Amino acid sequence: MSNDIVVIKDFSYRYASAAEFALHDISLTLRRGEFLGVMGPTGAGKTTFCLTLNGIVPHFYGGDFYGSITVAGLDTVEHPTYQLAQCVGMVFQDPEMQLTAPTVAGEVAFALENICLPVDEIKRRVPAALMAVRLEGLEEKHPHQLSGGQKQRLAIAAALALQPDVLVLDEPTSQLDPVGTDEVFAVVRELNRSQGITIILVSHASEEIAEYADRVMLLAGGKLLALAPPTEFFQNSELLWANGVRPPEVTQAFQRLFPVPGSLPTYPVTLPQALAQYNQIQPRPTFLPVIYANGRPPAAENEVVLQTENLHYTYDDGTQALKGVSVAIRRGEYVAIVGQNGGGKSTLVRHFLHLLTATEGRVNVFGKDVNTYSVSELAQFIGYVSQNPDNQIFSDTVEREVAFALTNLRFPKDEVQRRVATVLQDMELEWAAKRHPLTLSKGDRSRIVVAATLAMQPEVLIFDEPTTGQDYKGAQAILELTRKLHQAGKTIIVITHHLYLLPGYAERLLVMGKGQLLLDNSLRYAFYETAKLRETFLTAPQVIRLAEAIQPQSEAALRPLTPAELAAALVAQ
Amino acid sequence: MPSMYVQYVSRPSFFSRLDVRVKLLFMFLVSTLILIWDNIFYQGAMFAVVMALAFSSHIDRALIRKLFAVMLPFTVVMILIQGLWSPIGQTVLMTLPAWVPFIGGKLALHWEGLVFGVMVAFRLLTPIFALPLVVMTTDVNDLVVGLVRLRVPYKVAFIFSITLRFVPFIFTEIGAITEAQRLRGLAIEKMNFFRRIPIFASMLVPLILGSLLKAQTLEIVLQSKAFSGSPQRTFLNENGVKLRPVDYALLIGELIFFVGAILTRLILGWGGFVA
Repeated sequence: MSNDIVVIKDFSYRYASAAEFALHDISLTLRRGEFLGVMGPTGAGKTTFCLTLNGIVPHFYGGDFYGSITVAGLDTVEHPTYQLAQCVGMVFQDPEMQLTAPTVAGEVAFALENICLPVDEIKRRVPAALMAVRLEGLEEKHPHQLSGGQKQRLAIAAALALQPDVLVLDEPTSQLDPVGTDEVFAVVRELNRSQGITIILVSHASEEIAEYADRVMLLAGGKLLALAPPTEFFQNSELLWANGVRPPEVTQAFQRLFPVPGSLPTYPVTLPQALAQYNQIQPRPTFLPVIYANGRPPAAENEVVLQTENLHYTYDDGTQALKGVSVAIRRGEYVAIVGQNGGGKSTLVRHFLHLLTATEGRVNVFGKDVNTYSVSELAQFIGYVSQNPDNQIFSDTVEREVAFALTNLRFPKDEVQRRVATVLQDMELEWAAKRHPLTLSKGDRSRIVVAATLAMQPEVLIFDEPTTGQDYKGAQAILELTRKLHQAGKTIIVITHHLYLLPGYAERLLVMGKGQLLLDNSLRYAFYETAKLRETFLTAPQVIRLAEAIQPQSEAALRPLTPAELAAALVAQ
Repeated sequence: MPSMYVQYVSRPSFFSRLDVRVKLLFMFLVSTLILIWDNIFYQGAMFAVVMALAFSSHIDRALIRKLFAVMLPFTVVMILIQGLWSPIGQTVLMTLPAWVPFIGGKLALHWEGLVFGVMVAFRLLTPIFALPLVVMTTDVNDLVVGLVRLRVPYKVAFIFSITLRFVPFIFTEIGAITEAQRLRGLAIEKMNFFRRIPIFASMLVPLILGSLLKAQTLEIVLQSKAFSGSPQRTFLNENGVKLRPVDYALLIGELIFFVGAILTRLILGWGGFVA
């Protein structure tokens, strides 16, 4: 049997009724047991690439298909999806959508029932697949009762039960919290190493891809721009940045430390490589004292705008989501809230809008008890933007969408027009004023929701997981927007799982876990409380772990937050 | 995140343990007889049985309340319309006072019309409460196997089960959209029924688009799991759909009752209109 498991030759594909090719002129051969990382910006064709491997493209979508793709010896055009599905397991982004059975065991069995395996064989394979993803003992649970990471592992088990040659995972961790992400990567690596399953994994997580993948491929605009082992792939930062892909933080730090080409044979791409290289450098670079502007944030003296005292909240089903949280947020602060799903982040901020009413304790907004306001009244002072823009758009033009709140609040017509015009201008959306919101890109739709919220001129803006499911550029664009609003004097609260994105934006970090406030400090100090972060299964960004390994922690230790700061502090002599 | 599952009852009950075919026949019987009978007492008794089963099967009280709250305006409007306009109305209860616009002083509420209105209400409400009673006490997979055993094509049974999975998704979506609207200053709690209508209408676009998108994703997911809609497949839990003596007894009992009710209606005229 040939050792080449996936063979793609001169492949191009155009969706039915599309003008542009989604994928253009791609040739690629994967060896059995290889781990391929796929990176690239939103719209690069990554999902289309995944769907070609089990024939959804072109069987489901139609369109124009050029070239040839063979997977495990089967031509994907000649064989239907249900047949290809037995060689190619698929795991998708959304953990909710891909689970269709009412029990964990039933979920794993579903595909096996479809291919008419005898019941005895199904009963043999289900526990084996669950064991491989460490979900044994949960057979009779409802998939809904599992955590995000468990759900994705269940989706992997369901794919695995078919005993596929190839496992394709399309951004399997982008909706997950840090623990879930770790769980999924650990399982995928285990399957690859010990069972020799070929892995194709799409992800924006550069650090993980650098650690696990044998080869990495860069897709952008439907073209294959680079394909190389990670050590080689991440050297070419110019190409990566130009296509919205962020090199690992250690790579960025060393590139800044040794900017002259050729001064290092290769830049490190993983933390162990970075440490090994650091130890080889002669003379060893040392930390130079750098003065950061990290005194008390200017907002520390301002009045308190949002406050909870001993806040408890218990859901109807008895889940204690908050267990005595006391926190005060001042006018003009930029606060990030991080922590695992179910830790109480959203539950906390929803109290400020009176979307939830405290079971015990007090919640004050602008010095008054929150219970004296209705949701629609509070919305004028506190803008709340949740993750999915499509649940928050109800009008047929962008202009009307932005005016929606003002009309509800019965502003005079000329005031509505004036405010809509200003907001559209501020958000650079004037060109779209007359367009239907749903004809715009996801990034633009998110900005419409922000614009519609800003039209009420709220003093506080809360963004609930704005970076989830976004590529690097998308996440950056949203954070840039929050910075602009912060500079304009707004109080900003951002809930996120992406710690590495926060330096340069957030000033204060709240860490929530198990319904409690575990840590509340300025970002620079909070990020170096690595033991505390680990307690709630958060991993500090790579650059912080590198700095810690180089310099033992002490009160006087420098606390660089970004690759640039680390490089500036570490100067080669 | 929206859940894709019908949260079926947490505690088993006599009704939930029955074979799915007993329950499906029950649902069919209830929904048919409620139409065949014209007698408000017969219908009332049938509705009472359905409600008693719903409560004893631990169906979520909040859901029952919500269903009632949604149906109440329709029911009231329907009973009034029948009371005012139904041609069978003879006994005048009261003439509408003159201050009612357009119809005041001209139209009267009739006793027979009101009774007929209540009948129509029972016809509407009984199936609406019987459906969740069956669906929420049955494992979706058992439902699919049960339907296939009843010679329903597998593809149809599967679409049915997917539809059921969409119900909670749609409720979650409606919740999310309503919340987003309140967060844009819409004080929906202060609005009357008629002012709410355009608000509900504006929800439809995101709701339908969201559902279509989910449906497409779901189809891709299913195909990727080697699903082709072919009736040739194995059923892992076939043993979960099994007729016990009690199920046989109930099936026979249901059939006898059903046939008996139709025969007595046709031959003896039982269940005719009374007012």
